[in-house]
Amino acid sequence: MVHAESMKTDCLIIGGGISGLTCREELAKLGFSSVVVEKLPFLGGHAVQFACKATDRCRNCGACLVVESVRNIGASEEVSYILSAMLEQVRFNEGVYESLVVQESIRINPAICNACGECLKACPVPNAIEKTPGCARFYIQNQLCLRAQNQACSSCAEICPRSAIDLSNSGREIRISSFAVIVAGGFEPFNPLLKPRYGYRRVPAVVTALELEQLLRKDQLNLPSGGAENASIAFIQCVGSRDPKIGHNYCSQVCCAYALRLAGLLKFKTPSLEVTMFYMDVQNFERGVQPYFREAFSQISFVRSMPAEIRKGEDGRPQVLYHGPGDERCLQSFDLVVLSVGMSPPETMPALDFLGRTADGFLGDAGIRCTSSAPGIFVAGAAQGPKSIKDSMHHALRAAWKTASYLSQSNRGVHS
Amino acid sequence: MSRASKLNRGSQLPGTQNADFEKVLILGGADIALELAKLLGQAGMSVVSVGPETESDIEQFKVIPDGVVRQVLGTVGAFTVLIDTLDGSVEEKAGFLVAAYPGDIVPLFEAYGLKPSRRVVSLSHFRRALRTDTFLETRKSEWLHAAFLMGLRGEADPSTFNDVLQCIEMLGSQEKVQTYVFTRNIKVSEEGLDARYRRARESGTLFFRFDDDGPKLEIEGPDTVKIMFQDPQLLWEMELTPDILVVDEQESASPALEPLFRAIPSSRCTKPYLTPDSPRYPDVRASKAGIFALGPSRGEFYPDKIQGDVEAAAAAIMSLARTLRESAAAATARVATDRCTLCLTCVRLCPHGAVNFSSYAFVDGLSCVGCGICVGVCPMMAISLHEVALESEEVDQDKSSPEKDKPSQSPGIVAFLCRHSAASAFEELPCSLKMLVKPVMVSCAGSVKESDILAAFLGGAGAVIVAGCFRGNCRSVYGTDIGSQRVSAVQNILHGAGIEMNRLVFVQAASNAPENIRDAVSMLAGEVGAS
Repeated sequence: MVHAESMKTDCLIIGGGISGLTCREELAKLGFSSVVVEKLPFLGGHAVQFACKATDRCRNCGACLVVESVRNIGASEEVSYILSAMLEQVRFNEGVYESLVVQESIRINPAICNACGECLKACPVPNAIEKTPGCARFYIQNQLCLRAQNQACSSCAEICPRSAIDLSNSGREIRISSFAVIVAGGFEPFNPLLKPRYGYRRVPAVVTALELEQLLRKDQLNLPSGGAENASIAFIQCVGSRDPKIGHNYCSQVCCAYALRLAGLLKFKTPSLEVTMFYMDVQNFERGVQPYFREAFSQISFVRSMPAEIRKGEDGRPQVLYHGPGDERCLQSFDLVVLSVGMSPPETMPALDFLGRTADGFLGDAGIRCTSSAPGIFVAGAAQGPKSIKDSMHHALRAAWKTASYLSQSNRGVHS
Repeated sequence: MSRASKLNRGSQLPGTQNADFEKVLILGGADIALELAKLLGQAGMSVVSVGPETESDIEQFKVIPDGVVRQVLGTVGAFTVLIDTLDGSVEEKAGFLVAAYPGDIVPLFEAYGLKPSRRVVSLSHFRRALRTDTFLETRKSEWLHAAFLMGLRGEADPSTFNDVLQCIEMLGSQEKVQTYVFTRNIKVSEEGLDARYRRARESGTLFFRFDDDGPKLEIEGPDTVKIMFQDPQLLWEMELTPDILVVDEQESASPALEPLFRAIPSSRCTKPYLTPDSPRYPDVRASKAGIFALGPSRGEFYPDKIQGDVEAAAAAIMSLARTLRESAAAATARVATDRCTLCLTCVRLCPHGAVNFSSYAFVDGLSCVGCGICVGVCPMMAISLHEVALESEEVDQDKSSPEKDKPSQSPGIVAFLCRHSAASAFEELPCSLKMLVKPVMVSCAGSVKESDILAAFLGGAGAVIVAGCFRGNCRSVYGTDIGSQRVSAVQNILHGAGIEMNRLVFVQAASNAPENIRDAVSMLAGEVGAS
């Protein structure tokens, strides 16, 4: 660690996803400053990588707003955010939270990079340089970069026409004093390897819905076409949700929504596509949901059964084994099987271990509240429990209000 | 110009504006009004509740008991609300309006072919009876079989299921009770519901799920109903004559929202709720500044969510009040008073209800989002956009000069791009396509006038693209619809003049969906290049 710096702000926001960004924006409107700390090398979290689900009209997923929110920040200069950084320690001392943040090296200067792509061509390691979602620039994946493993490679820095790459940069420690903290650490997608019977990573053409989102976003989804049969795709709902066996005794609230939207988008793009959805119960996800369901039920085959197993068929395609009505054993092959993975609580953050958890294992107080067991620490978005993009934005607005009230009641805040 | 003098224009009582704009009028909901009043009171705002009589020790809290809102006039910071009370009409001034009406609840007896009776009751009726204990006290020591019908006529929601679970949980403390739920889908997409559903099942409630309309209901006597069905799992024919049959209800927004709808021109697209059904309106804020909708008024019926709306409303009101105090917003649309003929087209069509009128139309700076829809609809061309106009002037120069700079180039494509969506989508196009296009940033697809499109052709464009947000995603609710209608109108003009219509297209885009713009540019590049 070369640098040791300190910063002062009204509120430290942990997490630069849609909840953290919304908190930042709303706090600013209420007159308070904030600093956003994000562990990834880009802002926008999971949702910035999602596809637009619009068909001939908007389907209300809200993913576009995340991109816009990231772009708006890119345009304004007064914003403080620290990327590729982890929260190491939080201490409460005489009404002030003293936090220690450790930032990995940022080797491509985001203010200079214009995504010309020369570094990408020069880099010897695949995927070590990636496009920043929602922005026209690149970032280096430190775990893949040869330089980070102490090897003498400097191909990217040598070729960069704008000298945006500084390989000597090796991270820093930042001490942040704040009067309040908002935890907006988001969720972890459920890891389908914990349900081995679904064959993830073992059976070809079994992907998670998140992977499908990213394929669609990058326009890289290739379904077989031109054969005698129409291409077919299956969605398996409730993977990692409503499953007491794995301790997830809750509904993830977003999977019916995204699966039906993704299915609708795929059907819109390829009307001949055959979509089957394996489910327990269809959950509501927007107001006036009935016409939406009617449309979905006319386009998609719904099978009320949770598959027993997904295996590789003789033709190499994934085969879904399930119990049909009357308990008969059914076997059906698909070109692609999508696991609608649910939301798991955010990874443990040792620095925040003192915060209470909800019955479902998420952070802060239950009942969709924004408070926590610690005064001055608030929770926003999916860190508190599963939430859609829209619900996260709404929750973040509330968290910003709670924080602002706390700051002004105790006469804190540098701007109050 | 200070904020106070700005407000003067709409206000009839000079000198009272300060008090008025710090005042919040809460319409309809007694409990919610009280909670919001507490939060806002702490922040120094005063609250007037129009609705049921409420007792409170909160300072600066007034109730207009049993008031019914008749009309809403004005804009944020200076609303005038006409209220009918038992003692006649009153006029109340306020800076902010919050619709907190309870939902309208209609039991679905008729849809199930049933009539309410001693044994056939609605869900809220039964829940009330259980809560007040009248039901449990009068029950005999025999077995009680209680059956719930949920979501078999129309879709249920988590708030209905929460009510059903509450009844089951209250009955659970009793001995000799058997509960049954007949439904299509168990609605558990709210915190804690799935765990409670499992507990109910484990403590003996039988859940039957159907893919169709569910069991056959046969009226046996004046108040007994026989439920006949095939068990969906065991495929056995079953019969049940419950001691009590509980029928679910349909919840919707209150009809009392009508006067607020009339105050927001774009509400014709949001009815029966006050906020647009769009990701751009994720919280309590309506499309007109200063108007907020809590819970059922915005289509949210779940108790914890309604509670959350109270905090969200407090947040939204305080941040807007801060903008008001600092008069931070500047009007982006302005009306040239000498040209205005008071036709009121702008008043009727401004999606944000930002245009008011006295002897001429004028735009409220805080309500205006600068979409420019009024500019396009004004038949007298009396309205112009400021701020934004500066931006597009630069682009305009750019647009008119390419032929002079590079005479050898193809005529090129002019693309009008909505700054919310299409502009960032355009950034994602490969450079090879981008260089074929002269981008013109616009505030909304609905602000692109016929004359703008024709001017682009006259300026030498070989083709024109108008790109807006997807339908239902427009910040200004119907800007996309206006934009696409204009494009169709110009296509007809071109067709009449013998020009190929396919040189002009309207596309929908999102900041994460550049495909439609990309396809349009590739297609038009071929057309333009071929000619």
